[in-house]
Parts: sequence; structure tokens; C-alpha cells
Amino acid sequence: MGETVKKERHTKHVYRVLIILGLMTIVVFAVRYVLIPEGWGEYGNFRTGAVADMLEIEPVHGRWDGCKKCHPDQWEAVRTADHATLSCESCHEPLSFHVENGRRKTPMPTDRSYKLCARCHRRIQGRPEGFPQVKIDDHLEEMGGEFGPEVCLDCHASHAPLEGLR
Amino acid sequence: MSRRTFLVSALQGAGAGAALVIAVPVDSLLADKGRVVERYDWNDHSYLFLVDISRCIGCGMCVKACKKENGVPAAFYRTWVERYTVYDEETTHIESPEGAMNGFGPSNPATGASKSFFVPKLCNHCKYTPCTQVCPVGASYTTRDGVVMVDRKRCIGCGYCVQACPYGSRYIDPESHTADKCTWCYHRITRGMNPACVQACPKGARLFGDRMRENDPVFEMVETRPVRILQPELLTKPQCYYLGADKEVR
Amino acid sequence: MPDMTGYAFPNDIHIGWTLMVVLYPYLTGLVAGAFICSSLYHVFGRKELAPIARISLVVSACFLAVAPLPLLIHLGHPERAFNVLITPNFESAMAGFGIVFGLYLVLVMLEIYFVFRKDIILRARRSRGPLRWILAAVALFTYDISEEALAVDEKIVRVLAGVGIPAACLLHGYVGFIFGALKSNPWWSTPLMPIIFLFSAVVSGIALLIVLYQIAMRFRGTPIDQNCLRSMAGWLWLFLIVTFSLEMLEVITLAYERSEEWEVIGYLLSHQLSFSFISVQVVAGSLIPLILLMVVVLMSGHMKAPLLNMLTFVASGLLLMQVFSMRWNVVIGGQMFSKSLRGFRLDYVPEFFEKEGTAVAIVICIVPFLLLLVADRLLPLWSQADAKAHQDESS
Ligand code: HEC
Ligand code: HEC
Ligand code: HEC
Ligand code: HEC
Repeated sequence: MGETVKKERHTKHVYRVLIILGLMTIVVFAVRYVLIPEGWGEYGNFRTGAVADMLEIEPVHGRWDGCKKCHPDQWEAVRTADHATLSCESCHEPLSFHVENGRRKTPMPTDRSYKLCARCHRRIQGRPEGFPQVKIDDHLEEMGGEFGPEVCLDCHASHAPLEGLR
Repeated sequence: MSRRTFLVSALQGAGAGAALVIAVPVDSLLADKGRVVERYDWNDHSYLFLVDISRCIGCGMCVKACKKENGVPAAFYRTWVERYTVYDEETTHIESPEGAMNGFGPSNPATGASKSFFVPKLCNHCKYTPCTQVCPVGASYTTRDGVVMVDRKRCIGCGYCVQACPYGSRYIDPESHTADKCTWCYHRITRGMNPACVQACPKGARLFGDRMRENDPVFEMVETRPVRILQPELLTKPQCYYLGADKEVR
Repeated sequence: MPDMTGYAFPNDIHIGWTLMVVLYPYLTGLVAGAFICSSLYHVFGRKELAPIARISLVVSACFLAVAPLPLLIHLGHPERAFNVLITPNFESAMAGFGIVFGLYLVLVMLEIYFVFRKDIILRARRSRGPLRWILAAVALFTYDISEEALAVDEKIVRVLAGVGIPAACLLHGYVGFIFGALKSNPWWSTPLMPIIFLFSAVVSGIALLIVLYQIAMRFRGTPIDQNCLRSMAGWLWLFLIVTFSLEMLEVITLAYERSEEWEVIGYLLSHQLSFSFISVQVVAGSLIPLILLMVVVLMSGHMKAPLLNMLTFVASGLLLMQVFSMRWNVVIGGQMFSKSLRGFRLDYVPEFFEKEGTAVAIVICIVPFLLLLVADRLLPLWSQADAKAHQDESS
């Protein structure tokens, strides 16, 4: 640097380059400052609004007891029988599909197919031994059922599967 | 007042350094009983997850519920269930058809298995998470209550976090072109509900807990039972614990 | 769904980092390599490299200009690319990208400016009309090309070239770090990664210059400076030896340790990567050039110029391929297995016409050469006269 000062008369272009670099740096930082989003870095290296975005998402499935208020009978029936631990929405659809602003919006579909029961109750490798499971063919043969797409409901009531059999 | 304005005004009230307190409306039908939360302060929570492998029946209801709750695109998974079938010490067959979206079929070679079990998987919400560490733009972050999430409005879609996650929990959403992942259903848990997968599980194999809640049964289990975490050698400190996981699980 | 063997985590069957991410380190490698080559002349005073001192700098700049393209194409939201400068997360290995890249760009541009300032001014004086004004503006409206001013320029160039070496190492070593710092991936996670990337970058840079130099001289009908070529071949050989040793060291260590990772990597190398790693990268890309260059370096005294030219040309061409296949094997290879360490993709072939496909990659690779042609129109890139002068000086 000292030497550049000595040859002052011949360093005009160097100073001009430096000035341009300086201006560029200022512009870069100014633009960056303007573009930093609102709420950046308040709680860490992120935008606080991102959390708000997540919170604004409406749940699709309801609460655990979201159906209870309007369907107390079914609720009672399910919760006091073998399927007490099942979510109503497993066999029906998510609550938000059915209800909006406290009123029924769309009829609630119901999965009546044997495949639904089979998902949980078919005897396959890996299921814990204590869990009630059946080989569907054998079970139907044993109980005397005729296979069809909704065969399980012929004998079992979905809400309380061991009550009122047949 | 709509929920939207409610949330935003609550957020604006919280200046830097203050607690992020978010009011959650209770008039909603979704909030009927259960753990009803009126004001949400993320300093009052510290979440953890427990998977009880011995209880999992492999129905895949959790995967289905997650897909519906979060609109997860086809062929991508925020949670999935694996089936391990161990034939002998050398051979383990693992499968997860469509992430168990439709449950499991009968089986591959059904004979000769010495043990077989299902393992639900989801984001571990690591305390020292590599995915947040590598995000170049701060679009991945960890909340005070311990949830790792993605800011979809700032994510540039570079995919670095997807590469960095040792558990395969992240993906690039083909529609939004941003990284996405399990949020423990943050929009639900802040309203006092359980994550969708936890609610859908018919056997209580998935449990969601909060260290800061008094006598939290899940936290108690984690403290008193022999739990383990996945890939502990990576020192990511997962907040998702596994009860009864076989050595094959990783 | 791609064909898989074994069990992969369901999200892991997608190749997230595609051909574009292979291309990016390849291009920055050429940038860094060409720059270091020019620094050999400017900083370390390898006068015999004078003929390629200017072109190497311009090559570096041309490739630097297109290097971000593949990344931008790869990003899900290219319009948000500047977030990396606006809200960088410095815990991330990638956050420095904007800064390192920006600084390096400024540095190369400055160095080019001071190297070519005299030519810009001479040209401005010769031109008429708007071109004259543009060139005058580029010359910052001072036409000082006195001996003293040029001496100042030369000094600045030396400093910039000196600063540029660590900067080039940073730019490229840090690309290696992006991969090497991921503990989730055993094929990437090694502290050797940045060093391997760096040395292979220099290899690819010198190889490119050798190829370019020979082709350009053929077109211009100028004889090839054998001193310069021999020197480049020597440097190339040296850097190739280091690169190859490191690459082999990494694999051999993993194989010898027989740790958990080797179950995956051994399988990978013997199946999915058997062609691109063993045949292309190791045998055709490293061993053959190693021998060719050894012949060139050790027996150059007994060799006629055309033979020497041809041997270095072939070796350089192979090395350009070697470095590309190395990038491919790292980037794609690292995604051929699942993080479950139990499942493998059978293969991955990029589509020809897709957003991140082969066609786009080819276009991106052609652009820098077009830029080079444009630059050749504007500035005297081949300082043959200078070279002669220097040779006379030294002899
Ligand atoms: C195992 C699957 C299953 C579960 C769990 C389940 N349902 Fe159902 N539900 C059905 C089926 C199947 C029908 C149709 C019954 C029929 O048509 O005979 C049905 C019918 C209904 C109906 C229509 C009226 C009726 O009784 O036929 C209501 C209301 C209902 N369910 C509410 C609930 C509620 C509330 C819960 C949760 C407490 C629940 N269901 C849980 C399978 C289930
Ligand atoms: C706001 C009250 C309300 C809630 C909450 C509610 N339902 Fe309903 N549901 C209704 C009404 C009203 C009907 C129509 C009743 C009828 O036709 O008898 C209905 C009907 C149904 C039916 C029969 C098919 C149909 O739509 O006509 C099913 C099945 C059902 N509900 C399931 C559920 C389940 C499962 C839940 C919880 C996830 C639930 N409902 C929550 C109000 C509600
Ligand atoms: C989401 C999984 C799931 C679905 C779907 C399901 N069940 Fe169940 N079922 C259970 C669980 C859990 C139990 C309680 C088992 C226990 O006590 O461990 C149960 C219990 C039963 C029982 C009593 C078994 C006993 O010995 O206690 C019967 C019968 C039964 N289910 C039939 C059905 C039928 C029929 C269907 C189809 C409409 C069906 N289940 C659908 C999970 C399911
Ligand atoms: C023809 C009538 C009939 C049909 C059809 C039928 N079941 Fe049953 N199922 C029964 C009876 C009766 C029992 C009670 C057996 C007992 O208590 O030992 C039973 C018991 C069960 C149990 C409990 C078994 C246990 O070990 O505790 C399950 C699970 C079950 N059924 C599932 C199904 C499924 C799934 C289907 C549809 C594929 C189905 N059933 C169809 C009559 C039927």
C-alpha cells in the first residue's frame, strides 16, 4: 500500500476501482437490509411468522371426542365395547369433511368393506400374538359366512364387534 | 373474530425476546373436551414421542391419517411403518409397501421367521438436528417446544436437508418444491390435540408426551422404561423414543 | 417407482441431487483449477506458463459465470436464491455459497481488469462511436498506461492472484465440504472430501487448459510452446498423483476398516458404480493418464513435439472425463443407497429432455466456450508476444 501512495499520480484508476467496490458493498448491504423478512431472528435463525403459518393450518381430523357431542349414542356404543380405542375417523372420514362451523356439511362416508377389518384383524406376520386376528377364509368357514365385499358386517357390528353377533 | 386475525394479532403482540404466546380459540367444534388450550405459550411445553413397538399391529392407520391431515403427496411420507421379519441372525427382511399406507399384506416367505414385528417411523425431531444445521437460508428451524419445521415461504428447495437427515424423514414436496417433513402436527398439538397419527393408532403404539406437563405418562415411561433411540451414534439426540426396539431397527 | 433391492426408507427412493448437482462441482472445479494455473505464473513466477497466463484467467471467469446455472436450475425455488445472502444460516456449510462465490467473482473480475487494462485502453483509443464510450467507461475514464501505472497494475495483479489461491481453494474445497460434512451419508462423510475435490479441481483445470491451448494454437496456426506444454504436463502429473492417491486412500481405508459403511460402499462400488468408478474413473481416467504423463514428463527429452503434444492431449482429455466421473460417482453414488443402509437403487440415468436432464447439461457446458469466443473478439487472450519476450529474458 505504501508504494501505491508514493506513485500517487499513477493510481487514479485504482482509486476509482476502490470507490466502485465501496459503493457496490454499500448497495449490497442496503438491499439486503431491506429484504430481510419481518420477524427474522427474533427467536433464532428463522422467521417468527413461519410458526404462525403453521398454527394457522386448520386441523383436518377432529379431536378425539369430536363426534361425541352430536353422536352420543354411537360414541357410547363404541367406547364401551371392543373398539373403544379406535378413532371414529379410522372407519369414517376426517371430521372436517363432515362438519363445518358446527353443522353437518357433507354426509359422512363409511368404509364398510371387509378390507378395513382385514387391515387390522387379518392374521399376518408381525402382528403381536395377543391381538385378536383371524385367517379370513378359515374364520368365514368356521362361522358359516359367505364371502362378499362387506362380509364382516353380516355378523359383526362395527361399533361393538362382539355384541349382538349374527 | 376469525382464527386468522386472532393468531396474527397475538403474534404481533409478542415482541422480540418475549414469549411467543398464541391464543387458540376454544369455541371451535374441534375443541370439545380433552386438553383444551386457551393460550399457547411455547415455553410451557417440551414435547417428546414414544413408539411402543410391541403394541404396533401394522394397520397403517397412522400413515393414512397423516396423509389426510397434512395433504402429503403420493410416494412421499412423513410417517411410515416398517415390517421386520428376522429369519436367522444373518437374514432380516424389511418392507414397507407404500409406507404401509394401506396396511400390510400376508407376507413374503411366511415360514421360518424367528421373529417379526412392525416399527412405526417418523421424524425424530432431533435436538441437535443435522437438517436444521445444514439449511443455508434458515428455512428449517426448531421451535422452543422442540419441534423441527420448515418455513415454506423461505425454503429454496436445495434439498440439502433431505440429504442430511439420517432417518429419511424429509422429502421435497413435488408441488410446493420446498422441503417438507413431519411437524408432529404442530397445528394440532398447539390446540391441545394429539398428532393425527397418535389419535389414529388403535393400540396406543404411538404416544405423544410433554415433559413440562405434570405427571405426563409418556414422559414417565421414557424415564422409567428401557427405551432407545435410533442411530444414537450420530449424536443427533432424537426426541422420539422406541420401546422394545430390536437391534435390527435403525 | 425405481427398481430397488433391499429395503430403502420410502422417501429415499428419489434422487434429489441430480445431474445438475454433478455439473456444479465440475464447473467450479474448472474455475478453481484454471485460476490456480494462472496464479502459478503470476504469483510463483513460472515464466514458462506465460502463454496461458491470460487465457487461464479468462477461462476461469467464463466458467465462473455459468457455474451457478446448474444450481439455479436445480433449486425448487430459484427466485429465492438470494435468500442465501439475505438470511444466511452460518451453521450451514452451504450458507457461505453466496459470499464465497460473490467475493471470488469480484476477485477474478478485478484481476482480469488489471491484467487487461492496457488492452482495453488501447482498444478504446482505436474505437469510434458508442463502443468507444463503453470502453472508456470500462477504463474508468483514465487512460493512464504509463510505465508506472502498469507497474502498479502488475503489483495489484500479483496480490489478487495471491489472495485468489486461497479463495479458489475455499470456493472449491468448500464444495467438497458440503458433501464431506454430512454424517448421514457414509460415502460422503470423510474429511478427505474437500481435499480430494480441490486436487481434482486443479487436475481438471490444467487438463482443460492443455486441451484448449492445443486446439486454439492449431486454429491460429501458431506453434505450440513446448516449454509451456511440458511444464503444464508436469504440474498435471503432480496433481494427478496426489488426487489419485487420495481417492484410492479413501476407498482402501474404508475397505480395510470393514466398518458398517463398507457393507454399503463395497456393494456400491462392485455393482451400481462398477463401470463409472472402476472402469472410467480409476482405469481409463487415472491409471492410463498417469502412465501417459509419466512418459511425457520423464522422457520429454527423447520425444518429438507432435508425439508429446498428442500424449498430453489424450491424457488431458481422459482426465477431464475422470474428474467428471468422480463428481458423478460422489454425487449420484451417494444417493444410490438408502440411509437405511439396506436398500439400493439399481441404476440412475438422467432423462435427455427434462428440467435437470442431459440436454440442459450439454448446453451449460457449451456456454462458457461461447463466452470465451466473445472474449477473444474483445481482448487479446493469447499473449504470444509476451511469452516470447519472457522466454528471451529467461534464456
Ligand atoms: C370399526 C370401524 C368403525 C368405527 C371405529 C366407528 N364406526 Fe361408525 N360406523 C361404522 C360402520 C361400518 C357403520 C355403518 C353401520 C351400518 O350401516 O350398519 C357406521 C355407522 C355410523 C353412524 C351412522 C348411524 C349408525 O349407527 O348406523 C354414525 C353416526 C357413526 N357410525 C358414528 C361413529 C362414531 C361417533 C364413532 C366413534 C366413536 C364411530 N362411528 C366409530 C364403522 C365404524
Ligand atoms: C355438529 C354435529 C356433528 C358432529 C360433530 C358429527 N356429526 Fe355426524 N352427523 C351429524 C348430523 C346432523 C348427521 C345427520 C343425522 C341424521 O341423518 O340422522 C350426521 C350423520 C352422520 C353419519 C351418517 C351418514 C350421514 O352423513 O348421514 C355418520 C356415519 C356420521 N355422522 C359420523 C360422524 C363421525 C364419525 C363424526 C366424528 C368424526 C361425526 N359424525 C361428527 C352431525 C354431526
Ligand atoms: C384400526 C384397526 C381396527 C379396525 C379397522 C377394526 N378393528 Fe376390530 N379391533 C381392533 C382393536 C384394537 C380391538 C381390540 C383388541 C384388543 O383388545 O386388543 C378390536 C377388537 C375387535 C373384536 C373383538 C375381538 C376380541 O376377541 O376381543 C372384533 C370381533 C373385531 N374387532 C372385529 C372387527 C371388525 C368386524 C372390523 C371391521 C368392521 C374391525 N374389527 C375393524 C382394531 C380394529
Ligand atoms: C358368519 C358370521 C361371521 C362373519 C361373516 C364374520 N365373523 Fe368374525 N366372528 C364371528 C363370531 C361368532 C365370533 C365370535 C367367536 C368367539 O367368540 O369365539 C367372531 C370373532 C371374530 C374375531 C375375534 C377372534 C378372536 O380370536 O378373538 C375377529 C377378530 C373377527 N371375528 C373378525 C372378523 C372379520 C375381520 C370378519 C370379516 C372378514 C369376520 N369376523 C366375519 C362371526 C363372524
